[in-house]
Amino acid sequence: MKSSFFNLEARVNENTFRWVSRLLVAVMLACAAQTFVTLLGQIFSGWNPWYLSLAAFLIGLARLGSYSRLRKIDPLGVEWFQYFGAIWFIILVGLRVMVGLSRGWTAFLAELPRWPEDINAIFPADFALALVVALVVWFLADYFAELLAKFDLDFVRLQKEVPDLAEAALPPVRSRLLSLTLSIGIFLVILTAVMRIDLRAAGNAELVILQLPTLAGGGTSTLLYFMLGLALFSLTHFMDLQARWGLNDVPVGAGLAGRWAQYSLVFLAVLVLVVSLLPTSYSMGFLSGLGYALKLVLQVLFFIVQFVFAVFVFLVNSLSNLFRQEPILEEAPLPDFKPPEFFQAASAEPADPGLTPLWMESLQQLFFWVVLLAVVAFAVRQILLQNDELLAELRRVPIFGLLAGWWQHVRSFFARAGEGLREAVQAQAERLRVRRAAGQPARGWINLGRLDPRRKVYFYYQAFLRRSAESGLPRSRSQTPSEYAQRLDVALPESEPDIAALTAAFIEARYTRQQIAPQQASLAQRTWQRLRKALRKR
Amino acid sequence: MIGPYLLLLIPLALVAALMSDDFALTLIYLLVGAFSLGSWWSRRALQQIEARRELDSHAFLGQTIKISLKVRNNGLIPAAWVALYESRPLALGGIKPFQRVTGFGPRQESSFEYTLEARKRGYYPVGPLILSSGDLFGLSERLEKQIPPQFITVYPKIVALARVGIPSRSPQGTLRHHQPLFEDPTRVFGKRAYVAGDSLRRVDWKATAQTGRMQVKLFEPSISLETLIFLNLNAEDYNFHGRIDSTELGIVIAASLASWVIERRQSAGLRINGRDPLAADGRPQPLPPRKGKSHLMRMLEVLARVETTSESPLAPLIQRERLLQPWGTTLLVITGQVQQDLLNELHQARRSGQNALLILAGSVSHVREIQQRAAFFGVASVSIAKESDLDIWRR
Repeated sequence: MKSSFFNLEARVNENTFRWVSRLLVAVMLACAAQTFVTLLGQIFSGWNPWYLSLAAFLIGLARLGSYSRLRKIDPLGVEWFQYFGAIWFIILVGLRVMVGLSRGWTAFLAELPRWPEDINAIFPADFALALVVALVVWFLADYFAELLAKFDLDFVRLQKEVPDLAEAALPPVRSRLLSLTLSIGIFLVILTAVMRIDLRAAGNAELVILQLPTLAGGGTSTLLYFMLGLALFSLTHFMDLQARWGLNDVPVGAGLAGRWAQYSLVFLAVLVLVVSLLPTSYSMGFLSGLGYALKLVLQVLFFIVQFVFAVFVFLVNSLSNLFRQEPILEEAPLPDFKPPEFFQAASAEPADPGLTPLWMESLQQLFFWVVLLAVVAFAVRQILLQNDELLAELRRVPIFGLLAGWWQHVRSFFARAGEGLREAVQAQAERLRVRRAAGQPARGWINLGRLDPRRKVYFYYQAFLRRSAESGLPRSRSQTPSEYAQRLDVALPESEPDIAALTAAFIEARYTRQQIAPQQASLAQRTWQRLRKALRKR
Repeated sequence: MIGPYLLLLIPLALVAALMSDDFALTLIYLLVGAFSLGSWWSRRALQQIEARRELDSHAFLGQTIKISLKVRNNGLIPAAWVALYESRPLALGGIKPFQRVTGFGPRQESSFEYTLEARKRGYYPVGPLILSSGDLFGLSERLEKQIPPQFITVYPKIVALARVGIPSRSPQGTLRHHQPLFEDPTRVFGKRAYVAGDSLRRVDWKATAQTGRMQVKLFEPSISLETLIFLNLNAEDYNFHGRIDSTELGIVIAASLASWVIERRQSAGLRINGRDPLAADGRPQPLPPRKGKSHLMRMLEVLARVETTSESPLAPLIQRERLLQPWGTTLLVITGQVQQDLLNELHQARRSGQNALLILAGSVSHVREIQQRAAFFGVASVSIAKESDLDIWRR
């Protein structure tokens, strides 16, 4: 067998995984027990078997820790019985001590002398319940331990070299772990939901929902269970990948495990932050509507059952009358269908309707809807992106095909618009850049004092052109400066020397490389001023 | 993995709806968020990762080729893990693919290097490089991204030849020739006194003025060697046993002859009836006789890539090509078997003023008989059964 499948870092990671995963599972089991404890506290008001959570943690840890040792011993052998018996003896004693201490230290000390006399004193009713919980936790921890052991690198290597057919026939270990974790999770959700029902009212056949804060009534422990479950998924995913990389002889970058743990923690922190910011409290309208629809369905089903039963009673009694006997069954009245009412949420502090203005309420509702739909859309998109085949199948359905086509149209429209906008901005930016590179001033006010003599001459000539055009003597695009000057000479014969001087100055500035002296610019300015006066008189 | 997740959402949605409860909605957000954000993160991170491969696309036999992979995360979102997988050509020593797993922080760049040995001529793809990643929880599918492959051309082996007895009748070339018939006026090797009958064009007027006696220039006789190499890669024309070795030897001979001709500043061309994987129609590009190193590299590139084909006889190709070549061109035909139609073509070439040399490459049956038939048709022939037989041209 090849011994160098996994390097030292992989072995260190495996060891760390062993400890961390056991700890996580033990805490998860403790969280599950805590949710159960909270339910017991609600059913038997005043009773708080807090020790059950602690016991679940310790028992879980004990089972997870002893799993590999117990596997090495012959099952049902002497050694196995000794080891197993010792563990359970300690568990039983510990549980009993916890049960005793839960009533207080003095009460526990007071009951100790009665133990040898009365067997019932040793095994009270709450101890029996604790024992049931301990057994359930033991078996759950056992299953968790079995699954976690399959992430051991040696097991993975052995499975590759000498595949166990029974194991290979089962779903992947991670799938089984996910199913187990989520199954317990579903049970906890149901328990948490039950805790939101007013059980006293339920005894009177009345369904009253208690509006508890999110974290109350087992909410904290259940949420923590799921958070730890996610952390466990992350850990097992890393181990799974690491084993595959090791088997395929793929070199893994140093510090990947540390980075993985770091990112997982950051991700979970961000997730908690996002979840805590998302709106849940303004959901009554939406959820009540959905609940009403569900209750309506249940009412209809119940009505049908009642109706069938009434018909059955009627038929049986009719047959009995035929033989002149007393009716066998009591007459069942025909059911009367009443549409269900909206659930009445019992709030500890009834909200004052005057406190929240209507517009604020509407805004909150709108916000909730937008966020919820965005979350749903995002999730659906991610799922579809994961499943190309599903996406392809959906596209074949006409309605989805139409929607997809419409969505593509909208996307391409916005893409085109964005592209056009980007091009326009780029073109403008390019124009400005070229102008700046050429030393031309940007559009707007021109600071004459900052222009060099050559550009000053340009400026006076351009001003002269503009003023001439305003006076009805525009320059056509085909005219050269000299041709234009000839034309102006006819219209302004008295300004002929000035026109010739300014035109010559412009031609020299624009079309030669000769140095333009500041005096030439001043001369052009004076010429322009004289021409301006002449044009005004015209 | 998403299946159990969706199953959990059903009771949660029911609880949320029936009980109008914030807790269930919070849990839905948590679970949906873990999947959606995780998927989004891994997808985004992988999108931002850019990889490029740097390599020398051409190598000579025996060279070590260094491949450098530069992978960079261009974004601010870190990638928890990215697996790199690049397949390497087996013939260049890439027994196992290049594989690596690493994480990328924001704007982080990593470089990886590995080497290949140019052991065999050919045209080899390196890659594609597959980058794969996924979310931290393993809930979503693994994502992949491909960087297209790049190709390495390994030139065939070139045996340095010293003297190859290739016949030529082309005058006015640059190769010295023993026949005084073709004198090159650009290659003056001396002067002598004028004798009656010497052409006035040969008079060296400067020397005449200096010496006061009529002097004429002596020119070195030379020939021009315009060569067109025909390489037969029709699989049926080689013995089944040793076909690969024989065709490879043919390619080595073609490359060596082409190199020898070009080194002597002569023109060489190449026509092959094999298959070029890079050509759109699969037929190797015809390379007419040209001079220069760049032309030699073009020929070597084609020789690096070509593969054998079937049902592509050489004789029709020679028939087409020889008509396009000028008088005096030498046709070097490298083949594993000679049929009568091929000899007919070479005989026709000789009759039209071209030269032909038949080179039998590899293990050829009835060599002597073939050579006798070739001689009968006036075609020179040589048998190169193995690479060491090229020594006849190395001395």
